[in-house]
Amino acid sequence: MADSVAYKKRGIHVSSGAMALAVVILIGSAFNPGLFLSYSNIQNILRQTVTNALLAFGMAYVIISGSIDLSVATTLAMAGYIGVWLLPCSFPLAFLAAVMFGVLVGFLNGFLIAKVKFPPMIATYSTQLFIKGMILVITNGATLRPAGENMVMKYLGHGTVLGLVPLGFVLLIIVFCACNYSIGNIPLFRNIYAIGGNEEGAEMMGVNVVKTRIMAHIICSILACIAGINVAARTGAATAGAGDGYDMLAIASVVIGGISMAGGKGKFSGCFFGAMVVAILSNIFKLQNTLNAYWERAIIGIVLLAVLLVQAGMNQEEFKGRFKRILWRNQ
Amino acid sequence: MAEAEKNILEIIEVSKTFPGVKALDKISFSLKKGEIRSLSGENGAGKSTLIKILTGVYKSDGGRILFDGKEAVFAGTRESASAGIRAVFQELNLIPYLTVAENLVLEDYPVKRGAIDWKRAEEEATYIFKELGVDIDIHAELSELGAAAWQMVSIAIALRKDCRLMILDEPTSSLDKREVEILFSVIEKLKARGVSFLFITHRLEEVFQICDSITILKDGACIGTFPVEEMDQNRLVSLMVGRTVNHQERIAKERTYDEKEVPIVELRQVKSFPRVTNINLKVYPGEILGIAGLLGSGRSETAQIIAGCRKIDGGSFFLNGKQFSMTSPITAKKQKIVYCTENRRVDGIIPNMSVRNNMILSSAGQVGRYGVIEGRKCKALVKSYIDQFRIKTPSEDQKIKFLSGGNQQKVLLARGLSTNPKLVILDEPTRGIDVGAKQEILDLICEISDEGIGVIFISSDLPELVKICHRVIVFREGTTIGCLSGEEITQEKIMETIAEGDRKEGSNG
Repeated sequence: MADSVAYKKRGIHVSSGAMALAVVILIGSAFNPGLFLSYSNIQNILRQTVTNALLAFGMAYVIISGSIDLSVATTLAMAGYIGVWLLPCSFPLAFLAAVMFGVLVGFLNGFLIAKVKFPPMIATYSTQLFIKGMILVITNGATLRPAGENMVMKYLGHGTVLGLVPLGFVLLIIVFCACNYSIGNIPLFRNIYAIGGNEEGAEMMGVNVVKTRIMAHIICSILACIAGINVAARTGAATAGAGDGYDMLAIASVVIGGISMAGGKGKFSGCFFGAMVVAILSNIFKLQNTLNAYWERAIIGIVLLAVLLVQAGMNQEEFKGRFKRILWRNQ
Repeated sequence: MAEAEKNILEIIEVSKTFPGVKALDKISFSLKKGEIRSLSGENGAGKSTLIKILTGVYKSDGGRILFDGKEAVFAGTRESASAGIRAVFQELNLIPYLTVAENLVLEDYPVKRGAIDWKRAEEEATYIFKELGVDIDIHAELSELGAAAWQMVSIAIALRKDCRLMILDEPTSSLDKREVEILFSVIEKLKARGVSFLFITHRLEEVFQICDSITILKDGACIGTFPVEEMDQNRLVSLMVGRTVNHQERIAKERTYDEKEVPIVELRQVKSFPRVTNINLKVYPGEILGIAGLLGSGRSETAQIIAGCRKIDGGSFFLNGKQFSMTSPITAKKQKIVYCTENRRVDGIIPNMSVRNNMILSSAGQVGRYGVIEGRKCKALVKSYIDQFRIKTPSEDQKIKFLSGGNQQKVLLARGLSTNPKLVILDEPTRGIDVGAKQEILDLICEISDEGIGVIFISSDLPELVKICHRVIVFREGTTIGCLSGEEITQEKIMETIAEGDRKEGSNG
């Protein structure tokens, strides 16, 4: 006879990211179906999602590991410059150089946090200031445009697959699958959950905390650099302000996606939905002309609060209890 | 049977000195294969140091340790674990948001072509828990499961890695009676397979229930090793403490109840979702009201209701005979109700603050004028409590996290009492506290009630309840099912009441 020690509590399990996505799609459709659901607008949304999602995936790695990265925006901008600079040589070289820059920044961040034990906010904020400063020093804030037409870059920014789906989005799906698979099945990445959930415990169980944490930051910065190439491809230029605001949008995507800011918990699928939600919200804004553009951030802020509220409610046992009671009251 | 008689562990004259303290002084004992040994001693007797030396966290200064006939010197827990020695600690080191199965294999994922082989991980988990005879949902997230499940997972992890000496440090402190039985049945099973145990617990009756022999440490020295048959609780305690302690006798003074007496707090048919379905209780001034029941029977929830931390969904709350709406802990504080939570480390102390600042946290208003704390007044208050409660601390500026559990609890008691309360709610105040300090805390509780303060005393430790309570209310599944008073209060009677299938609805509490 087996003795029972464990009862699984029942709760409401709805991906908050998917829920939010459904809601914003409804809002968008209700507001102007012809425009919102048009082929070119959907393409726009998908293209916008690519940048958001790349940054959000990277952010998800570090947030699940119990850290945060405030340097992604400037990393993105710098990677744009590096890419555009080296573009005349060859696209692979430009891409590789940008990625290497990501490895460097990620290692620096991870090292400062995991080994030197700086608080993640301070460490990554310092890196962000430093990189931003370096960009301005080197470029004087000038916009850099590629000398000639580069076919790969052009196709990356504006091409579609089969004339339907933007190429960037298809590549994003591949990146998503890779991220999802790696954090689900490769021990080194799987350990990110462990160190985020209980760092001390993970260490006792023989997880190499320092290595895992540095790894999470490296991936985050690499993804930021790829996003930088993507932005450069879409806009056809590298600017010092290319990434401004994207860092907070990435964090918003992660939170909307249901990933716990405390670490150790969350799924990449939710994060994907979150990135789409943010992209659609700003898209809806561009389609209307009643409210001016400054409202965009404010609305995203409100949505974020709403999502957090719903999440907090769903996580609370007491709330669940009350919810059930309301449902059962009439029995 | 020659195999079974072999000593798996031999500790020969092991010593360890920390700056200023001789933590271990030539400790020697040996442990047989498949033996369950209780390591008994007060806090500070050297148990933790010994465990840390065995698991390679500390290095001993002298002496030898032979494990399985080989010299055992480890550079860390990883090395000792691979040799077959594991410690399962009080604070369990598991990852809350991962599943049971994943926690089990986390240390060493089964890998197929570079990726985690989830199917094999699940098979391994199913197999191990079946071996242990424990029914646990291996797909459940650990954060959703109770302390017993965490304990089982920790043991299963050790077992997966072929552990031959398991050190259990206070494994039962957060388990209820039924869960302890499950744990013990697992230990017995492992014992039959030849696993040896060093078992540390502050609940003495468990020593006699599960252990084969007892090694007693006191002030870093080994008092001796005794077969359990030659011991009884009183002798064990006096050897551990070095003085005779009135261990089992009832020390509660008899208390008479007047028909017209007004209870400080009365709950009538109180509901609070989830877990609390029908609570009736009264607590009078100067009374120690014990609450008994299994974990999850609504004891702590009831305490939270009275302390204003939890809202009620039905029934009525009376304060001093008048209906009252207890809306928040701040209201409770104004009504002079004090609550000491069961989770001392998490909800009680503020680890990095000094003993003084922890103590005056609730009463800062009283030790100051115009909203500014007066140093002299505050020091006097803190000093008087340190003396009165015999709190062992080098100074009142010591960070509280460096104090032993018993002394931390005393500081929290002092914090509560410094607000001149009328009612004190103590939720498991003696959990994880050694015998000597436990006795002092129980004495303090009696003193508090003698001053006319009402005390609600929640405990999983039945002997304690029997010892000091004037009345004991028994909880079961969120309902009060019985009330014992005076001579009726015995361990057997409490257990009987809990076990009784038919519920006595609405019995007067």
